[in-house]
This record gives sequence, C-alpha cells and structure tokens, in this order.
Amino acid sequence: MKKTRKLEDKEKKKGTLKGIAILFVVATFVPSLLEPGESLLAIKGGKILTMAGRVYEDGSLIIKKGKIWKVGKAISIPKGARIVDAQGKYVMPGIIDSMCYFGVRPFSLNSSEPVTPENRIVDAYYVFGELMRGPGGIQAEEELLCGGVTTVYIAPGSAQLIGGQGAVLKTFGRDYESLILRESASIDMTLAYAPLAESGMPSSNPPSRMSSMALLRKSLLEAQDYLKKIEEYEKMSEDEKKKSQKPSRDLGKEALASLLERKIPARIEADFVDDILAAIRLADEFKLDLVIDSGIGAYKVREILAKKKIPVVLGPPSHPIDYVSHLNNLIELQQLESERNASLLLDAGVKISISSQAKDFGGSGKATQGRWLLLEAALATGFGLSEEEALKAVTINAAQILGVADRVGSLEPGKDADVVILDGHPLRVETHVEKVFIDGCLSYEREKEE
Amino acid sequence: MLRKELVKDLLKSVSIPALGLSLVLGVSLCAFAFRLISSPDSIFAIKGGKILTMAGEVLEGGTVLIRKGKIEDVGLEVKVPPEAKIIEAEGKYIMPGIVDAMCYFGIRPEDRNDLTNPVTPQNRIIHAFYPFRNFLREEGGEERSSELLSGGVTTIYIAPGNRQVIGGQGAVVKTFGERLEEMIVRECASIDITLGDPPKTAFGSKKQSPLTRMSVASLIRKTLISAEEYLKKRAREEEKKGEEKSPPPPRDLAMEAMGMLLRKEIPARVEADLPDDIRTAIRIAEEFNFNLIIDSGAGAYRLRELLAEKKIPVVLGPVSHPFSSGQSVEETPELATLREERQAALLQEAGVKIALASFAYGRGYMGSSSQGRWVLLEAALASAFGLKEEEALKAVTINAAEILGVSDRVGSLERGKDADLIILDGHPLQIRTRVEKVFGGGRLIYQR
Repeated sequence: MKKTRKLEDKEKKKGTLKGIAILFVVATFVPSLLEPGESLLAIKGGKILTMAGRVYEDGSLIIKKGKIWKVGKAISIPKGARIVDAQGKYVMPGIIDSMCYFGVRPFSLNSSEPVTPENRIVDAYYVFGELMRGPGGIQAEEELLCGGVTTVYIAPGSAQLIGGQGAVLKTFGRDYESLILRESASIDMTLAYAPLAESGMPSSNPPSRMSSMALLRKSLLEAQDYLKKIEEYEKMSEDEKKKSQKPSRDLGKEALASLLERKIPARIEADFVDDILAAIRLADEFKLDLVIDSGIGAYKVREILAKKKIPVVLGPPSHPIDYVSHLNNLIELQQLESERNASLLLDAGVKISISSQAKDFGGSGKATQGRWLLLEAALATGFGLSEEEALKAVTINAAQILGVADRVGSLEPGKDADVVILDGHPLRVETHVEKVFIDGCLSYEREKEE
Repeated sequence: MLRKELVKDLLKSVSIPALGLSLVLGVSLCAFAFRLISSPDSIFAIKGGKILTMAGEVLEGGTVLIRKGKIEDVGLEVKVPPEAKIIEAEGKYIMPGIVDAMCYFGIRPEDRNDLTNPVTPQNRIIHAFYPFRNFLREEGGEERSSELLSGGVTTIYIAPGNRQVIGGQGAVVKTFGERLEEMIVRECASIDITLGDPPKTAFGSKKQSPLTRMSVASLIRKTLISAEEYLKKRAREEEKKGEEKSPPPPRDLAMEAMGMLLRKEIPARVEADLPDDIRTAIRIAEEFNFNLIIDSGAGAYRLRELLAEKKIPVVLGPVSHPFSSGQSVEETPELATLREERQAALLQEAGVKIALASFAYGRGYMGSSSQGRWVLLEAALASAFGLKEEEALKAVTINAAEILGVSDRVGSLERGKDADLIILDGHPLQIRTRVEKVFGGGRLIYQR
C-alpha cells in the first residue's frame, strides 16, 4: 500500500491538468489492490522468460482480473489497459522458495512430541507487525519481495520426526486468506541427527535411527487402521450407521490418512544417504508420494531417485548444511562432488528445486536470507547447472514439487499474475528486482537511486 | 641444550632400524598430513594473467615472481630465472589473497565468550584457535580449511564473541601453514569490545550487570581508568632508583592488555550497529585517546561524515546479512529500519575506510551470515549496491589489511610482501568465477 501511494504521489506531481487522468488511474489502480478483478494491465517491451519453454524478446504480457490473460510477442494491447513499460528489462514469473521458515517465530517451529502430524504451520504464520517490519496489517514483506519471492513453502522445524503440515503461501495479498495457496501442502518429516534424543532434542524423541523409523511406521500403520475404520463406516447403509457409532475424529491420523490417500506428499528432510534410502523405503511400503528435503547426499543415490521419480528440494548452495551437528559427520558434504549436487541430480533425471531454508532475515537467521534465492540459483550455475535449469529450480519446478503449478511458477494464460520485472539477467549479481506483481497487484517497487 | 641432550639420550636408546622406520613413517605422515603441493623454497613465475595488484596498478599479461615465500617482483617485464617453475595464467585473473577482516573461523562455539565476567581483556583468541580436524573436512593433520581457501581467503582476523563487553584480544592469522606458529601474523591485534544489545542480553538475562547501555559504557570507562592508573603506578616504580625501589606491583594481565590500547599499540575493535552505540564508542575513544575501529556498523552510514572526519574505519558485516551482531530483527525493530543496502558505497564515498568481512562463525546454520568462503561474493553484492568495483576489491584486500595493521605483509601484490595470491578463472566479482589456485607463503596450497 505504501508503495502504491508513492506511485500515486509521483503521478500527482505531473500536474493538475492531468487531474482527470490521474483520477482515472487512481480509480483503476487502487481498487486493483483491493479487488484485483478490476484491473487490466499490460507489461510491454521486456524480454519475457515464461519458464514454460518460451522466451519472448520484446514481448508483452497482459494481466486481467489478477490472472495472466495473454503472453506473447505481437499481441495487441486492449484499450484501457494500464501500461507498464519494461523496455530493456527481464520479465519472469515470481520466484518460489520451496522451503523456508519465513513468518514463523523460532519458538513456534517445533513441539515437544516427536510425532505431531496434526500441527499446521499455517496456524503459526505471522507475517505482520515486527516480523513484517511494518506497522502491522497486510503489508508486503519487502525483504522477500525485493528478491522477487512471491510464493513460499513453510513447514514445521526439523527437530521432530513428524512436525506437521507444511503450507504454500504468497508473500503479499489483500488479506490473510488470500495469501494461502495450499493450507495443507504436505506432511513434513525429518530423518536425521536432529530429531534424535541424543542430539539435545526433547528426550521424548527416539534415541536412534532404527527407533525413529519404527515410530514412523507405527504411526502410518495406525493411520491405515484409522482410514479403514472410517471407510468401513462410510460404506455402511444409513440404518447400519444409526446402529453403530461413528468413529471419533483423530486429527493426527486424519492428517496421515491424507498422506496415505496421496492427497499430499511427504516432505522428508534427509541429508545422509542412509536417511534418504530409509525415506524411500518408507514411501515404498506405504505408497506415499515422497519429496526429499535438503538432500546434501542425494547425488549419491541419484539413479534411484530418478527411477522412482522422487524430487529433491535442495538447500542453498552457499550454505548446504542445515544444522551444525552435521558438520563432523556428514561425509557426503566433504567431497567436492557435493558442490555439484544440483547438476548431478538434474543430469540423472531428478526433478530439483533450490530453496533458501532461511529462518528469517539477518543476524539470527540461518545462512541465506530468503531474498537471495536468485543469487543461490546463480551460484548453482557456477557448479554446472545450466541457466535455464537454475531458473526452473526457483520457479516452475518448485511450483510442481509444491503442487501449485496450476496457479504459479510460469507465465502462461490462466495462471496467477505473479510477475517480476528485473533490470538485467536474473542470474547476475548486479541485477535488481524492480517491480513485483502478485495477483496483478503491484506489491513492490524498487526505489530509484539518486 | 637440555633438549639436545634429551634427544641424544633418546637416540641412544632407539635401535637403528626402528629409527629408520619411524623416520620413513614420519616423513610419509608429514607428506600426507600437510599435503603441500610445493616446498617453501620453490621459485614460481606466474605469467600472462591480468594482475590486480591492489596497489593501484592493473597489469595485463604481467608476471609475478615468487621466491622464498615472498613476492620478489611483479610487473610487465620481470626477469624470470631459469630454475623458476612457470605457471601459465593466460586469461586468468591474479590478485592478492582475500583478507577477511572479521570471522570466528576455527573457534569452538563454547570458547567464544566467557559469560562469567563481562570484562576479560586478558583473554587471547589465539589460545582458542583450533583450525584443525573437525573444522575442516577431516583431511587430518594441520592442513587449513579448503573451505576458506576455495574462496581465496588467506588471511583472517579472529576475535572473541560478542556476548561480553570486553571479550579480549583479537588476532590476525593465515589460513594455512604447517604449524600454528606459522599461521600467526599478529597475536594481539586489537581489544575486542561490544556495545549494544548482545552483552546486555547475555548478562541481563541472568540479572547481572550490565543490564543497560549505560552500565555497558561505564564498565568500559571504569576498566580504562584502572588501566591508566596501573600504567602510571608501574611507570612510577620504574622511575625509582636504587634503595627506594620496592618490589614491583604484581602484573595484571587485564590491565596490561588495556595498557596496549592506551599506548596506541593496538586499536579497539568495537562492535556497534546502532548510531547511538557508535557515538558511545567514539566518545569513549576520544576520552581515553585510543584508536578505534567500528565493527559490523549496520547503522554507520548515518554517521558517515563524523566517521570520515575522525578517520575511524568500519569493518562492515556481509552485505547479504548486515546484522552480523546477532541482534535479531524481532528484538530490535529499529535495526530493521537501519538497513541501507548502499551502506558500503555511502561510507566509502564519504571518505570512510571500509573493509567487508564475513563475520562467519563457521559453516551453515551456526554461521549467522555468510560462510567465510563467500567474502568475494559479498564484495560483488556491495558493488551491485553502488560500491565501485575497485573499492569492493580493496575492501577485502588492502583496506582490510591496513585496518588490521598487517599491510606490510599482505593485502596487495608488491615487492617484499608475503606471496599470498590467488588465481581466478574470471573476474573476481562475477558469480561464476572460481578460485583455481591459491599460493600461500610462496607455496601452492590449494588447487581446484
């Protein structure tokens, strides 16, 4: 909102003669923030990287009612469309961070029990006030928006075996509900050193990898039974239903049941090869859709991952380790090959995305701040990933892995108008994000340097 | 003498085959452990690259001649002796080793702060410096971190953590060397002080002084006053002659350390982000007349005219993570408004000498910010936010060396300086550029 007002101010400066025109612009633009349905916007003249296979030099993108209406080279601009000049700029879909903890207070990340599938991260998502640096209310998170990040996946922390349900959210919206893309996007699990009791985690955590796996299997078996009971009840005739008691709802089992029904995938954080293989074994046994998180050692089992079509959400190449206890043990990281994790996986046919794993910004945050995700993708190109694949890893591939590719991740007609305009190639250090549109609303604009 | 005799005794008692075996074993162990690719006496001529000397000159197709660990010559027409090993560097960039002006590399987390006492100037970080094994990639021996070397970092400043008010003495060390002693450039390089929230929260949470900014400042002043008195007392004793002389007052290590500061032998490195903390640092430095360097300085750009006027250098935290002091944004909302992406450029243009440092704790999660190896990338980011490329490179080489007081040895490629240099496969500020070779003390110590 703040930015938009600035834009209005600028326009007001143009003079009173244009008063009527301004009124018109304000009338069409401000409601566009509140009700994207009314806006008609044309981004004209830039190099459009659609991330759907096509690149349009000097292309145009037309946004209608918050959705992408048309994209191409020689398309006519409809009358009344507000025109955004992107001559000499790059235009691409909003960046998707497929794993971060943005907007979640550190102490809200983990519970004391090892298995809490009923917990939903969306209930801990607090993007306003101090975490948002603003005075509160629905304000764009500039920290992320200035890096072009429009969609994030957030999830419970990695200190539990089953932390709960991850969510996919936008970084800007007119109200809280409009931020949510998928409230329950996955069951977030961790197989590693972190959830073990010996690593200083809650002593209710299992003490070994074996007992971790046994607990996971037990939880899934119970969910299977629960699902069966529910299904049996649903199959009953009305009379029978009246006679027998309806099984009482169990939120945890219900959540795991949606995993068993393949409505959502399991996101399992695993870095060591043995943990990754254990995750695969679990997914095979219970026929789960599996996504590997972090996966520092994933390149070592890339053939298996490719064969089983298991995608990997990699951490930032500049800071591959997610927690310090790995440092001494993770042989996988101690080899130069691990730097090329992304390209090795991709060449073997594994779908990858690159994520920030950022906990928040600056000092107390881990490693990369969410805003530098494009830079991390650029870094991966220095380790063998092609530029196109690096960009896909933070757009369309990330969207596909998150199950939101019908809405975001590429510039195609019908998709949400989440668009980023940059002043140069997205994979250069010196490039800055100039404008960000989410659902067709201008949600960020970089201030001009004097 | 005593040691020689001991060795003799030892030799007598060991049979010759056993000695031979242990010698062979020892030598092979050394070779394995150190993995040094060349001996210190090698003469190298690095030819044909673009040499960024960081001493003002850029030499296209120049030559660097290295002998006995030092740079013997650098220029466009250098006479190369026939015994020199030629390193072809055509199409490459050659520059001095990167100097990280602030990081915690090689320090175990628990060794960073002594939280029983807010003031411990006697503590020396060098006694906690352990760059071996676990901090490395398990390559054994005393080989330095290939992690840092892969980023071209050859010299670092390390210091006590920022949870105490006066943590102790920082040191300047190299990232390579066969023994710890060889790594040390300056054992006592500074007195490391922290203002603002970190010490306040560390002790305040235990309901111990200092609980406020006021008590942090008065604690520093009190310590400095005691040090002044200590120096005077010792000087008085030394002036006395003959029979007047009483036994000298007992040595006080803490006061001696603060004395070095008061005598301007070393500067104070004061970590301060908020402008009020920076002003406090300046006020105390003027009261006691010592040399001041501001660390982290996320809000320093706001006082850039003052800092320029008083010639106070700033060691900035990484551009990507400017709040290196560990003050989370949630704790100090005013910090959030302080972040100015162009802070490096603003400071530099105002005439403040700056260094860009990683403030890295190690790797990954525990490293707040950037890993030590990405210092060049942070410099590139600074240049994306307005800092001239040359100034960005100076901020991680010669300027950093000057601020650390070690520019007589490192920071630029000039005759007589240590032969610490890196060869890169492209412009140092491009994201895809990789460090190909690192020479440290005249040896090839890293090769990609």
